[in-house]
Amino acid sequence: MSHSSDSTTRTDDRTQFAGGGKLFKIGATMAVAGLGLALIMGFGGPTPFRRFLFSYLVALAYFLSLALGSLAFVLLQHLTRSGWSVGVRRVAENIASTLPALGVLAIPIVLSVMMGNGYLYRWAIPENAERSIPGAHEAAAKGEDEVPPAPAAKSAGAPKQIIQEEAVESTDRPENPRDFKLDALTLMKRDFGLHWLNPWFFILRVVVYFLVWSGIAVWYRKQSILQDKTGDANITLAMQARSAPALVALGLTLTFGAFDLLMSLDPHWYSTIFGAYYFAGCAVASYALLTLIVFLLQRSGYLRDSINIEHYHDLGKYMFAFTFFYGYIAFSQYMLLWYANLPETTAWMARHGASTAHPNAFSGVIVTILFCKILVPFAAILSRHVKRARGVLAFWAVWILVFQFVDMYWIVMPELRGVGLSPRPADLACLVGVGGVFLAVLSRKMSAASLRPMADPRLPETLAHVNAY
Amino acid sequence: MSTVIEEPREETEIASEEETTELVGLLAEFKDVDSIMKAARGVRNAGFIRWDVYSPFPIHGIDAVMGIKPTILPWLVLGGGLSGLIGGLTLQWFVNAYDYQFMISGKPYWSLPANIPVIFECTVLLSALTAVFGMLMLNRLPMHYNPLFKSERFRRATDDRFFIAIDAQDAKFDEHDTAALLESLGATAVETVED
Repeated sequence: MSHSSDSTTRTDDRTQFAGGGKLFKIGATMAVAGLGLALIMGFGGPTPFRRFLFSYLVALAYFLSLALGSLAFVLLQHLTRSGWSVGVRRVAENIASTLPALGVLAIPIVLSVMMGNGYLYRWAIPENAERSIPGAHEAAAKGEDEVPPAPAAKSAGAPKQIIQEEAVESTDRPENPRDFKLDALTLMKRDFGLHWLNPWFFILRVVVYFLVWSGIAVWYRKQSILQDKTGDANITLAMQARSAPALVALGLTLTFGAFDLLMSLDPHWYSTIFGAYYFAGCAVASYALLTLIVFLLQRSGYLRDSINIEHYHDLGKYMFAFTFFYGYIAFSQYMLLWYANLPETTAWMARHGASTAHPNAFSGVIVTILFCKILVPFAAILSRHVKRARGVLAFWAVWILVFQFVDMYWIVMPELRGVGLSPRPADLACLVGVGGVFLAVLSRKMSAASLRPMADPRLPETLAHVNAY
Repeated sequence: MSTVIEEPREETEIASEEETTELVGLLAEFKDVDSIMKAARGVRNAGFIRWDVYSPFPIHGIDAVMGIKPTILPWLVLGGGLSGLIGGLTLQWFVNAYDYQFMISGKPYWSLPANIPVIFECTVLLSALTAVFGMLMLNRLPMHYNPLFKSERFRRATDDRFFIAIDAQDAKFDEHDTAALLESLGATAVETVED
């Protein structure tokens, strides 16, 4: 590749973010007001804080997806020794370094598991045979996920039935966790074998996930900032050398994190592709956020010389590719469950509105996701001209960020069974609250260092970057 | 004596063979990227249409300097992809729902979720085939012979020299004026290409 020799490092680029203080105040206000209101709204009802925990988990999973996607982006750029992305890499490093704060925000989730009331995760109720379906414990001990029919069922002449309390329960009344009955498969996951859904093992895993994520994010940002001052090319080599094992660690923790935090909301259900599903959402949403932040920074007069239309084009390619990847994964998950038609896995899909025979309130949401998170953005960002029009690309970035939230809502909220699609002010309050913390931390990180790497050995390459096609 | 009469006839035959070699164009050699960029701009400004630049590696921005229009290949690929999509869907409808209905595990004869993998693969297949063969067609490839290959000098186009070739068919072409233009644009050598 040939570059004209006049495009070397320019010095008149504005790289020191000055709006951090103002953004921090906005973020802190949002955090206090949002979380405060959400907590106040959490009181009351027969199961206080149950709704709060669900709303809160939606918001946490949403902002976690943005941070984890950005972390994967940073690692990927080092792994591929990418030159074009150096100019936007610091923004991604800053987004990823909100992970320690998000770890602190996971405390309410951990507390709900420790309290053992099953409000959020139904498997987290105390080990108590009375609250499982009769015979389920014995069946679980034998490693069967079926139990002998209860005497009542036997007298009615019913054949041996698969325990599927979720599938047959009525959805028109809200559930009370006091009435939860755990089936054999759930008990097997909780009390036998690996004890995977044992509360203390769960808490240990969540702590490990956040330590790994925070450790990687903080280390990469620290090294990158250190290089601004020293200009040492060995730092780049060290970051490259650690990127492959870090990406493996991120892949495993992200997959199991998605299993634990989101999939175990229905302990009966399992989908082996679920980790990839969550990652696809992380990737597409974080590229959208990266594009949006770069767009807003440039509109405010920052990074005007170091980021140009070629970088938008590449970010647009990422958004397009991962929109399609998300669609591929989401459809794969749906189609395999639909085709296999096994009761213990289709029940989740049916509850989430995917059944045409028994549509429910979430059917509209799943169709919205199909069109607005996959088909519409796919067609919209397909063209090269859209990827190279900053304002238009920023619009689609906002669009993708909105529907990533809808996706998280769709994953979590149907598990608050029996209330249908019922948006509450608490959902918005949690979004604003967690988003406020995210914004406050992000603004601090952005003003703490320059907005792009200043001494990366590949900086000249990013400044001269041209898309040949 | 008769042989004397015949000799010039043979000479005219040879001369007529030589006359069949005609001027194909002019080939100008340049030393580096900057000079060929400048020269390409000059050739374009002079109003030439039928000409090309040859370089050992892709030069960013040369398309814009030469005034090459964006390729229509993406539209061909879109057409290929849509044909695959419609073809795949129609195939499954014909096979499963119309011509040979066969009940499989209680599924509807014709249901979209089950059809999507095949539709997807057909779309990808026809898109890829259109991209490859469309590219070859638009580039007029494979091309087994080009008069430029006769030039010894031109061999360095794959190594360390840059070339501009102007076709003699171009309306603006004139053997002497065009050669003078190329030299004025900084060509290190200009030669005629004959075929």
